Amino acid sequence: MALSTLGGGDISARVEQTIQRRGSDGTPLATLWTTLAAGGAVLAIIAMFATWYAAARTANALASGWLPPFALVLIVIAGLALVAKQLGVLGQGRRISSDLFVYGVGIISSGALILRQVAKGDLNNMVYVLVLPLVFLLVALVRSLRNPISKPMLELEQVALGIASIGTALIIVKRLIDSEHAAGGWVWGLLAGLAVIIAALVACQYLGILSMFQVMLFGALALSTIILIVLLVQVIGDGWPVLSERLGDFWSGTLRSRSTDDRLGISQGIIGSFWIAVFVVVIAFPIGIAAAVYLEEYAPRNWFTNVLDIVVRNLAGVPSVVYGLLGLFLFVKGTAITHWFIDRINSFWMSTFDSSLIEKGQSTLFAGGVTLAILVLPIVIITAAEAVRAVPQSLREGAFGVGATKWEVIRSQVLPFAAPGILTGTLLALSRAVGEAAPLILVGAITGRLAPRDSMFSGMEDFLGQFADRFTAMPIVIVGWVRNAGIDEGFGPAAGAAIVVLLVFVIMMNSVAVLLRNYFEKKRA
Amino acid sequence: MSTVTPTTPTDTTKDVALSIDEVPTAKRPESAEIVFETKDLSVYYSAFRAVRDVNLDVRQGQITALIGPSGCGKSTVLRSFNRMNDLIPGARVEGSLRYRGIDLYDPKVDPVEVRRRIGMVFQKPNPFPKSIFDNVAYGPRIAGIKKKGELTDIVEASLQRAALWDEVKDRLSASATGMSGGQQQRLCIARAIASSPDVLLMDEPCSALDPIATARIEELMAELKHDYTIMIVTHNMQQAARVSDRTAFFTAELDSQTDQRTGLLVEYDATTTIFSNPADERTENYITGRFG
Repeated sequence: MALSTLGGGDISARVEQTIQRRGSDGTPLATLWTTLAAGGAVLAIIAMFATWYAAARTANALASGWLPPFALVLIVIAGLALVAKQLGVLGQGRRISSDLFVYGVGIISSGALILRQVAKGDLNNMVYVLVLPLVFLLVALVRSLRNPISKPMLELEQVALGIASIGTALIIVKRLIDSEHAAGGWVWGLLAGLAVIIAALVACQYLGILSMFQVMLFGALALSTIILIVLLVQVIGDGWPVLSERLGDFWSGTLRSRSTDDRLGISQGIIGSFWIAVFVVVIAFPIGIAAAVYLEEYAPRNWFTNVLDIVVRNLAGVPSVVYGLLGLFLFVKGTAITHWFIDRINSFWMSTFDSSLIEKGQSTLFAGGVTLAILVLPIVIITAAEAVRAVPQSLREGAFGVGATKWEVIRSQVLPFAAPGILTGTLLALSRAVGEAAPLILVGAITGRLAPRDSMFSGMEDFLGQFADRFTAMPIVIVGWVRNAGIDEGFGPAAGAAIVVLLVFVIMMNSVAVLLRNYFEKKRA
Repeated sequence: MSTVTPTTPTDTTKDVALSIDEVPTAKRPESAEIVFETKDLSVYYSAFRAVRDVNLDVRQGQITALIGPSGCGKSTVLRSFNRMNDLIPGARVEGSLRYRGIDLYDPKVDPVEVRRRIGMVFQKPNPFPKSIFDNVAYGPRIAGIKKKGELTDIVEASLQRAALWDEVKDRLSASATGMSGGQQQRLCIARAIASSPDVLLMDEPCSALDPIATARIEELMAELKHDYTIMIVTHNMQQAARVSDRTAFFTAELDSQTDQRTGLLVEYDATTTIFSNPADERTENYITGRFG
């Protein structure tokens, strides 16, 4: 902040003012910031204890000896002091001394670690742990010396925190790389990663590279990314034995009662999930988009459409199990009315294909697919309606102004403009449908052993017959195997591998959604 | 007036809906022919009366300017001339509004056909997020012209009329949203012209443009008025004085019945009269800058 902008007054008043603007007292933003910094310290401490605990258990070479624990204790003290100061325990009057204390502890602990590596002659191994915090430290020092007014002592505590958490986190990461796959290791990895990011952000903010707001946004992004990465690594680790040794067989295999069975695999789950996705695309997408266009473009604004709007929004929030009950009631057990409909459909179907499409009183693929299509319908409606609402009124007016009819305006302007949003929403809905387990369990998907169908492409009857047959789906396969893993441990890796396959599919679908959205957005620009 | 059937969305032939066709729309030499005639026109938004007592007759081949302070209902009046207000829920008119003798708000009149006849250019340039060619060809296409050659001719003619052809002829397939604001507005004029309308309504077409682009649009209007009847809403009194043949001055007054500010037409006369020798004191106050 340039001093010249502060106007008159004596120097001390200006300094006071500047410090107040930069300081951590008073404003809501500052409070938020303080909370974030304290959170970083807590995370660093948790990560530290995790390392210590894990090191004690595995007697890792890196963590042996007296120095690392000593350094870590210092880091803990630094963190605790910082938290105490942020909470005001140490009091305003002792601010500077506590800052110096924290600062000193940071330097001492970092220095101790360096010295230890130097003494061991093992610089390659550990030096990188300290480079980053040292750079931060140096920059902060230089800046605070050059401009003591805008960069008061206050920020040094943040740098110390950065050092503590980065150092700790890197130690953990190092330990994870060195050691065998330790139970729960990735959870600590997650914490360490978070600590690193928070510390780095703290440093960036205080060095003026990023604004407060950017820091928070980036932190949120980093948090979600790390959770995803940790999740992926964890399941890949679990499923690795299956994925690396018998992926082909696993892909083409079927549901089996023993995990040692060579024919154990997910083909039925894949086929079931595929058809469920087809049902969703065929049923939920057209109906949902049409309903959204009606609600936004045609429906008058009155109490009825308002109620409709609220109903749709509430339906999107109804737990999926409830839709499972609905599916069980309507499409499996059936009511007099649905039976009547099913009879009509079947008699029509039989006249053409000589087989029934829907089996009354049975858990069929048809029932599962339609249930999930209904489940995501409100989501499709809401997202499509939002996208349609976001179309600028000026576009509609432009088209109306040259004599387009309502439908022409919708087709040529509204839908193309809303296409990216609609696509994103619908494909996310599809991902959701493919990942749902609860409603399918209620509708009666098979979790145990399912006799394989001979072939689904050998003829029209076989092909259609599967809709009236019992079925399973990827999430159901996973649920079943995870449950079985309690009795038969071999199902554990199988479940992990199945999760990886499902995740890959869902991520692929989402990627397609992103690509399509980009394509359409470029088209409308 | 013969019986009229409403058009369906697929019905793209021009000659069905409105019996306007029975009135010769060809540009007649006598410039005094009346295109629009309103009698005690009021426009409502639900219960709110936005503007009242509009009595105007708009002559062919002239530029008619609507001026007045903000909130006096001049845009509302303009938008009622091609039934754009139909898009706003609750909007309705009272009184009569005749276009070449036809009551525009007759239930048998198809607003879509009205808007093909009476084109509109908006305050903010609103090109479609498509290519320049597709923007101009939009109107002809929905009117049922499919042949590429015919469309190309229309697009070129329209762009030339809008004084844009030389600037864009080499990049007709480029996106229209990449043009400058002034070019976009001329494109919107070309788009309106491409449907070969009878009348052009312009709702503050220059308010989002810089002075140079404004000057170009004004030149263009002077050029276009030989073929089209033009109505323009403007906040810029100099602009009205420069370009228009006749000027209508609107103002807003507190309605004693409804306790709301309602716009009304104060004075309507030749532009020179309005700006040099207005009959009404309110007009004089406005144009001399004493209020508004």
